[in-house]
Amino acid sequence: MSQANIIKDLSGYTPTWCPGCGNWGIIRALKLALSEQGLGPTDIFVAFDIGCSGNMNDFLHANSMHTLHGRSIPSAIGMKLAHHTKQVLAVGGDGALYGEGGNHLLHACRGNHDITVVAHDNMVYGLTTGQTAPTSTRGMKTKSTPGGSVEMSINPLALAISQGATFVAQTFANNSRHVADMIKAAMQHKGFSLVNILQPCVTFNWVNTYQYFFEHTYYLGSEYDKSSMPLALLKSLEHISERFPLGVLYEKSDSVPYHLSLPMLRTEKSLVSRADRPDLSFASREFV
Amino acid sequence: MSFTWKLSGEAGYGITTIGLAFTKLCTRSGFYAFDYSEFPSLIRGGFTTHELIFSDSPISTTKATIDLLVALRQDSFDMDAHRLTPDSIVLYDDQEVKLSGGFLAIPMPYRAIKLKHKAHQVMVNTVSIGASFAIFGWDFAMIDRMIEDDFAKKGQAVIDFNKLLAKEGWDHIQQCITDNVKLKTKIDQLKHALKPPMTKVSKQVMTGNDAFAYASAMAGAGAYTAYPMSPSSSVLATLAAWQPKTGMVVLHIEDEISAINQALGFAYAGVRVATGTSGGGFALMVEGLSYAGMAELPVVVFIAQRPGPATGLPTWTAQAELLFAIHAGHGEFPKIVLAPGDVTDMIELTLKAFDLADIYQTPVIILSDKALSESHESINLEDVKKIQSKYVQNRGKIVKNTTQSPYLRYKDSPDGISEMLIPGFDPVHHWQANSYEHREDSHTTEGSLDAIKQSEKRSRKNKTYLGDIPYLGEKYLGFAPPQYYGNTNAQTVFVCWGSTKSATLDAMNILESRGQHVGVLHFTHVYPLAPSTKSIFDPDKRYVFVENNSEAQLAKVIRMELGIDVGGQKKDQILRYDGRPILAEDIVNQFHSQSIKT
Repeated sequence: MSQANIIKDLSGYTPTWCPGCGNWGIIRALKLALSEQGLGPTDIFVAFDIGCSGNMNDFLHANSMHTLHGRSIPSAIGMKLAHHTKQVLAVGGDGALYGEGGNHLLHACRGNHDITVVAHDNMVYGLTTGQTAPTSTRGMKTKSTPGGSVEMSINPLALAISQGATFVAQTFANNSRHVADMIKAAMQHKGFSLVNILQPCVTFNWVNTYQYFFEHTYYLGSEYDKSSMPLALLKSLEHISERFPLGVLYEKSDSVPYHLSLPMLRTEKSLVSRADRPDLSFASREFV
Repeated sequence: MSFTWKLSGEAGYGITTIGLAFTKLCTRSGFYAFDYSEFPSLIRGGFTTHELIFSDSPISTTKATIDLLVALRQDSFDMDAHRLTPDSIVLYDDQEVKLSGGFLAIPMPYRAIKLKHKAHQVMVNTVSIGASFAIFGWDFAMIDRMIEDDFAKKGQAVIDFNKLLAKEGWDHIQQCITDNVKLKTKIDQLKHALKPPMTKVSKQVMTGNDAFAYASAMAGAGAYTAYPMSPSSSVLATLAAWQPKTGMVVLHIEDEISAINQALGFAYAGVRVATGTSGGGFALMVEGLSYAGMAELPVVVFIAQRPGPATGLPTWTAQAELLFAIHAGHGEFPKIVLAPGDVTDMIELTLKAFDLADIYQTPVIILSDKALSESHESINLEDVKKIQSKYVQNRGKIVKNTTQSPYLRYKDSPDGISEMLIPGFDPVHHWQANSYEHREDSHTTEGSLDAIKQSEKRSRKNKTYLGDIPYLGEKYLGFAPPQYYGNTNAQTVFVCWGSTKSATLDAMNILESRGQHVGVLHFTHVYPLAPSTKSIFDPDKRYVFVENNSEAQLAKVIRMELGIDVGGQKKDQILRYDGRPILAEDIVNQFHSQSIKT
């Protein structure tokens, strides 16, 4: 099937995002990444979280779950282990993935589950109309922090790398080509991958604007060695001084994904394709 | 015939291990056995008890009197002194324990035996087993067998040493006989009464948790997700150990929120799945339960109850999550709650739970409790085999291919159930498990008519389950009314649910033997209740609710669901809520005292 046809198949309703929202660039990039890999709606499984980004459930066709807030990662893991030959993505915002569901992210990283987490990081809560987010810069004034936020901002890249994620990339919603390349690389990686997408919220975040990101981001050059974890950690710490490197910060080349550590999944036959019920004669011996 | 044997002592000294070996031995010898263990929520230093009852007929509850008590410490005796009768025997540590009361007391030189063989405290249990068997008049060969089976993994040296210690206990009793006429008479009596049955029915020893694990595998569950929590934890351990043989994916995940949301990922992808926990963990799952209700995903949730609120009494028993379970989850959606009465029931209802979850595409909750989950019971192998050979998976309207085009996942239907396409096989059709209200095609909606249609569709599944709407598919599988036991003319009926079944039936039999007729009405399908259940309640009879909680929760459910005024007054409630299971004698005694009052 032609790439144009796949894109057509992938396209659902016209999005309801604000004009100028970073999500427009991201959905374009997602369709690009999927279609370039020849993946249509029935080839992939996607767990959409709750939020403006998660609302993509109706705009992007796929086998999908529109999960509970913060729970896209656990649902994605369930789908992956049930159907491990398929590509599985979790799509959510910084509130869902780094706040409400932060615990799941840590454990998905250390489990090296073979899912791709596409994080829309707009440093604010959009769908609930402008409260502070885990990634908001310290001191940011929002509806829920009129005196300025007190907490440090989460450092998603450092967090993921330190907890065992085997692929960590950052990109900027303005550059759909780059976002698509990062998502593709993440999907092709065997193991847990996080793509943190810096995304301006034009309605509720007047600090981290397109202009802000143009000034605070830079692309990692070809000389950058993504295989070094210490280097990647060092890069990720630039976050503290509001510098955001774009590109693949870290990729572990010999990563073994979770499902391949399970003997019963080291086969092409997925759990859901197995019709046979187990022979339980061993159990009656065990219980006598 | 039934005989209770109890051993208690310091936690961490192998009391439950030797107790289970004994339960298995009784079973292999042809008896039916049931055991119940109490232990604190710590690993060492507390007090552990193991109570075993064996009988020539099936049994799944203990009794109030102890026939043979092994007291290794003073508190072992003090705690249970009130349960001893003139017929009881007490084996006690002659250096540690002071006894008083009219029963047959036999001092045991535990310390001397320990010193003689340089044995560890753990080994003392084996001495008690040797002595107990001598008292029962059983062959020493039975002990040999028990030790060989129990310690097979530990090597010949351990086996030999244990045999030696068991022989010490055995020999001590033989010596005592020569100058203790009372003991000799007792042994002669027991030798006859406790003779292992001649006809041996093949049996297996299982806990309620074992039965749930076993039946889950039998049902073809592909995955189990859980975070450990007493008293449900052994399900996780059992299924994890079986993975190489069952091919099931068993996940110990970061928290219960993840457990249910991962389970829903499996469910959406078409894999039969269960998650398990106790009340506190279930509290974390309820948002996920509501998601399963909205997205119509099949999932089985196993709850092994313990007393709450909060951390409560972690290692003790209760039936206090009934109201919580039936009301769990925000919003309105159908859910089915089942409560097995014993181990065999657990196998049957677990199989049914997986089928119901698939047929009605909604969460099904199984309510167990510590008493059922952790007690061992011998069940007839033949019964298990029969259940297994009869069982055929029923996945209802879950399909791998669809003839619909366009495919409508939430298509309205007379029985409320829509076709669920397992995603990933069909090259054209796809759908979303949407936590938002959705249209028939699964897309998000905020439209009034769509909301009404889907809400009514979901609640119609309830009516189908209750038998009010014909299920357009295979043979109906749904609600089953409570089971009535005993004399149908009885003017008083004990009403119970789940694990209190056996004790309540025993109470009925005790009263019957005293010429008092009572019936027993036992519920396994505790929610929702079919309106026709109302007709079972006769306004001229007295209904007394027997429950392991403080509020007579089933009575509340019946009042709410059926609108009949039963069980609301104290005189119509026999309740226990101290973490201990209700025993038949508790029921009889409370019944008598309440009957006198009224």
